[in-house]
Amino acid sequence: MDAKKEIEKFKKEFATLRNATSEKKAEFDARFKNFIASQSKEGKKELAGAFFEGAKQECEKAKEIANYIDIRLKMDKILDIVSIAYISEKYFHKSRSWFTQRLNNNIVNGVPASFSKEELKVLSDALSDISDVMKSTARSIAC
Amino acid sequence: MLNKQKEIFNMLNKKERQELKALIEEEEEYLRFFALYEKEFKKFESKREWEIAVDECLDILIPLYRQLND
Repeated sequence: MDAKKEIEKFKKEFATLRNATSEKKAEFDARFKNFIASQSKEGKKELAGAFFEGAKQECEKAKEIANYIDIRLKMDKILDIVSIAYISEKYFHKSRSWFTQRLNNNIVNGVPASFSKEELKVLSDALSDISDVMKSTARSIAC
Repeated sequence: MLNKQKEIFNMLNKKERQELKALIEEEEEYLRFFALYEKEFKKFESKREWEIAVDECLDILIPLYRQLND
């Protein structure tokens, strides 16, 4: 038995039952519990390991989604001020659409695109750099 | 914060909004699966390091989902 695959299979089936009848949900519940009960002691331990690992991963994903909303919210303040095309080309050497896909968490090749930790650092440095240019220009034109 | 989140959701176009909603919805169901059956596994395995705060993670997602549905 591949415990990880089994948990993954049941997890995905469970997600399809969101709007299912209570009978269908009860049938799933009984089937999953029977499946666990039918395993040997070692099999149960394996399943438990895969289950808790899966829970950990889903929690991480939930935090990533919340983090995306947080970043989008913070970026919203400056999107009207700075050019996305400028930032993506000068600091990331990528297209505007590459940047927008990550900013909007668009699905790219079946996976939601997001900034990596390293890319967020580049973005943070880019914004600091731009603010330095603005401050220096502001000082130079002040009477 | 929630009002700000709502502003963000309103900025997204229909397709982006649908994609984000589907993503949150799917994630929420996966977390519900783990929250619901956690006790089945704890019956025979109760290592402390395996105690994942699935409910707390659900608490992060549910308000986001509600905002998208408003």
